[in-house]
Amino acid sequence: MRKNNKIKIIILLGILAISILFSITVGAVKIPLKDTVKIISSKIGFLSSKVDISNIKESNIFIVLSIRLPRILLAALVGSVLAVVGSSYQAIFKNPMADPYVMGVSSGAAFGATIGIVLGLNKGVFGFGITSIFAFVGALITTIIVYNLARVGNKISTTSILLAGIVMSSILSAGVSIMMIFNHDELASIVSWTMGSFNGASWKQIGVIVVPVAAGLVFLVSLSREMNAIVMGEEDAQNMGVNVERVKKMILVTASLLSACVVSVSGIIGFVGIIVPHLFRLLFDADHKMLLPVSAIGGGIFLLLSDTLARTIVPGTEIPVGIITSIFGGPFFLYLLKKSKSRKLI
Amino acid sequence: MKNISRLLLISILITALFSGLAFASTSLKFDGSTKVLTTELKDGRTFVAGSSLKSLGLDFTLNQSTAIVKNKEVELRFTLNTNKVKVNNTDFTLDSKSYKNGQEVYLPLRFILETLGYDVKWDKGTNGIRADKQKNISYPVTIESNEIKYTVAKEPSTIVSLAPDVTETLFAIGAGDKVKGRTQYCNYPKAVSAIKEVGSMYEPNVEVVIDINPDLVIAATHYKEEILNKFKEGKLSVLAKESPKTLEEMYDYTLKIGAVVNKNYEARALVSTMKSKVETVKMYTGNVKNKPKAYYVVGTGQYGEYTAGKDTFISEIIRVAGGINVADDVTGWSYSLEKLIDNDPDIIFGPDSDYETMTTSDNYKGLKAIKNNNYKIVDRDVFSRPSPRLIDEGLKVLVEMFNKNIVNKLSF
Repeated sequence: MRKNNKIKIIILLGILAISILFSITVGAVKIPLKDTVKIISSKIGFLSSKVDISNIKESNIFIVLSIRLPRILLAALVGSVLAVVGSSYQAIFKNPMADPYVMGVSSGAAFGATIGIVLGLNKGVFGFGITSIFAFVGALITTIIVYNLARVGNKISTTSILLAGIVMSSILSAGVSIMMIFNHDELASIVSWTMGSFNGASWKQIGVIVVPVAAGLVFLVSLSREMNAIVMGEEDAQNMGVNVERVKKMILVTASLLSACVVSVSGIIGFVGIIVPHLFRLLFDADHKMLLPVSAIGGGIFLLLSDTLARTIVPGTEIPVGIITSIFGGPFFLYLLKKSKSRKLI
Repeated sequence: MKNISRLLLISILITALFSGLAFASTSLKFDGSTKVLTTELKDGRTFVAGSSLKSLGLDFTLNQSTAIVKNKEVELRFTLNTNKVKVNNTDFTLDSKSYKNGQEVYLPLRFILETLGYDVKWDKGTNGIRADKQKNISYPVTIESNEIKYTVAKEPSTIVSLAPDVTETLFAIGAGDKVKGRTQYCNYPKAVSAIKEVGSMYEPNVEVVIDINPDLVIAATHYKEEILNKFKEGKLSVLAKESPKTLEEMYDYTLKIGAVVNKNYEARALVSTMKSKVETVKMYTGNVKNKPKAYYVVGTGQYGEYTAGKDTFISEIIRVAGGINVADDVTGWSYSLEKLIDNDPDIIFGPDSDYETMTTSDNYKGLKAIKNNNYKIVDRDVFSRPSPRLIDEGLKVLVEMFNKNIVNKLSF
């Protein structure tokens, strides 16, 4: 069984690698496969001296290394985080519908970003990344509010947190809508932000989020045994020596911070946090030791391919990636759900 | 102040108009000396005789029905008996016609002076015209927007335009051949269909733009900072400016864009024609009584009423065209159904996409304009872009809507 799992993970990693390579070669501008390979290998240490890219158009090198590559890696990273965060929320809330939406994180981020856009801070001297910072702060404040609303003494009530999260989401969405009504000029920016997009992704963005995100992912994966215990039942978990309240809090805080991080750079991308964990529960097993790593890899593959579709399906036009994840992911998931005999939903 | 002196000039010209066609000589303060020009006053405009232009350092030749005025840097070709003129081979339409009277050819004086870069005023002291040389905007051209200074060091030979109004302005001043990329919304003039599409204003495809490798990317209002940063990272020069919100800003922006693409003469010619058209229309509509109340539809129906409030250029041209903008009681774009009903406009104009909602929904049934079949369908693009079409087409459409008898008097 364990050996089997390792092989599965290796196969998934292989698919991820192939997806990355494939995505680098496609785009609105046609760059010959040979050139793409050369450009990539020129950046890999031991190969760099052996390839000659001097006769490749400079703009093509920029397109591959500074437009496609960061975008692809960012999409994969965000996909991983959304999937792992989804799995973790679903485990601690024992609710198959839980994802960053439910906690109000996404709406909080959207609210923050909208304020940034409406104040005009996304343009001009402040320019770079101000919207992201506002989104991050919005997500964080919302999480703190939801958490405190649901906290009774030292305990967090699962039902309360879901209810508080959903209601906060509604309030904040209404807030976003009202700002949209009064700021007709910025409608396009706000709508585009709330539908999610990796257009314009840069190494800088990756640089900012990669360390905290990687640390958070590792931390969540390290709590998989505790998650298993909580899913089985909080009392049993307590008896097994798991400090349920403490673990729940740790997971909640980490997952919320992680989603705040990624949502602030990508905008709101729905569905990944629900579809990917459930897909792998159906395909493999509900054991979090396995589920979290495969969700991370699978989420990366899923969002990366969705984004590749988003930027290539209509040449020269960007389609918000959130639309692609729903249109293509949704029916596939429903098919699996129907076909699967054992409905291990959580 | 500038406006007042312009108005003064016009009113004097109007007085002259009523005294019939006036043969006169006009004194002109020009480059520090006073010239006496042979002029005629017609349709409220001063026309200068071709033979007088020499004293302004201009060559004048007549080639059948084309009058050519030129110096070392610029050539103006007027087609007589029409309002057409070419400035360095770019077409413009004037507010009035050039003509021949006996042996003499008469050309619009203000247009010539403004194209050459002079500010034209009525000088009370000498009872004549004063032309003050304006500072030429030359490279490096600096444009400031949102507290960022953009500098263009030399003439760009290739441009990607990320806004329809920018594309239209570039074509209007004869820089259309520089445009190598445009958004999917840039649909005017027809020649743009041959230019590569790069996506939307807000989400252009970065790869495609980088691949075009233009000397300059010009964006307006709707742009995404991350994308512009990406262009800068790819070593492209970027110019991003909020789109003009008033006619004055539009004139100013046109001149700046002209300087950016080294089309100063053309840009000045364009601004001169736009200003004089606005003035001519104002002259006619100024003393119209019973101005109709007009309402412009930006959006309607389920998602609420949107229109152009008093701080928009649409409100400005409604005023110029001799109408009253119903929505002058708000700023921005948001309105309400109740206010619309309360104000009960005489005329509603908007895009064809909103026609059905307004004419079939019970909400609007009671409106005078709807009852009288006065929902006028207009081209949304013309009214949403601060570009020359706003005046050449938009203003005219409105004049026709508001004061039918005036539109026949216009010669553009």
